[in-house]
Amino acid sequence: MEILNEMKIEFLSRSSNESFARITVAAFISQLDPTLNEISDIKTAVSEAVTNAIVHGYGDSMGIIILTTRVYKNKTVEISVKDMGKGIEDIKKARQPLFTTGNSDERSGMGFTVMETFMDEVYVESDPGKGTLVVLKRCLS
Amino acid sequence: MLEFEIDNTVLTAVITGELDQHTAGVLREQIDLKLATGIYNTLIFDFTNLSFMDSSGIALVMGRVKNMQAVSGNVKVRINDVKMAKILTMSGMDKYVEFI
Repeated sequence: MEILNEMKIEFLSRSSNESFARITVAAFISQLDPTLNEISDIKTAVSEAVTNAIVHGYGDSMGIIILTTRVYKNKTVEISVKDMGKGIEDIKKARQPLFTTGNSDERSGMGFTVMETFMDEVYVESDPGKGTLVVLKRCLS
Repeated sequence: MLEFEIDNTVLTAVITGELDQHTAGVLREQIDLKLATGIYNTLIFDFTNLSFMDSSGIALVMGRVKNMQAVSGNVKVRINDVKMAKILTMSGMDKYVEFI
């Protein structure tokens, strides 16, 4: 796959950056002329991945989140969200609907399910104590 | 942004703008403060003017369902965006919440 363009940003794990992240990705992928529906799906998935990094990766501590977005000539969007936080012990369990290690009043356990619903591919790599990488892919129409 | 509409024992929370983990905290606090008065037996979430929602919306609604069930009350959701409705129903909340 031939890359058309790429951007990379780093920001602090503040929850106010959830909207910054999804708006930035939406602006960057606009060069592929996505439909409103596709933009909405991608914004939602990015919001979930970044929220996971903030709430579960870093929790009460503050860290850096690295967000990379690549657009390919074949109209594929690839977004990676990387944190250097506490990592996920059991990825399979974490991806199950309704599973959460967070406070049930604040977290629904549906983050990965939403990502999987709105994207074509969701890849998760994690090293407990070192961090988590989530890669989201979507082919545009 | 949150505004309340009150009709006897029915409290409607009209939420506008974006609903994510960042904005959900304040909404939760303000809604729970109203419910703590014990006046209301029905809580309606009005999401018709929401411009964005992720899975934080599920936890916001389901948390209130738990609180309302404890006082034999109920929760309803008003929503017209198909995608946002899909996020909410994905969690199976339509078993506990009436979509109006």
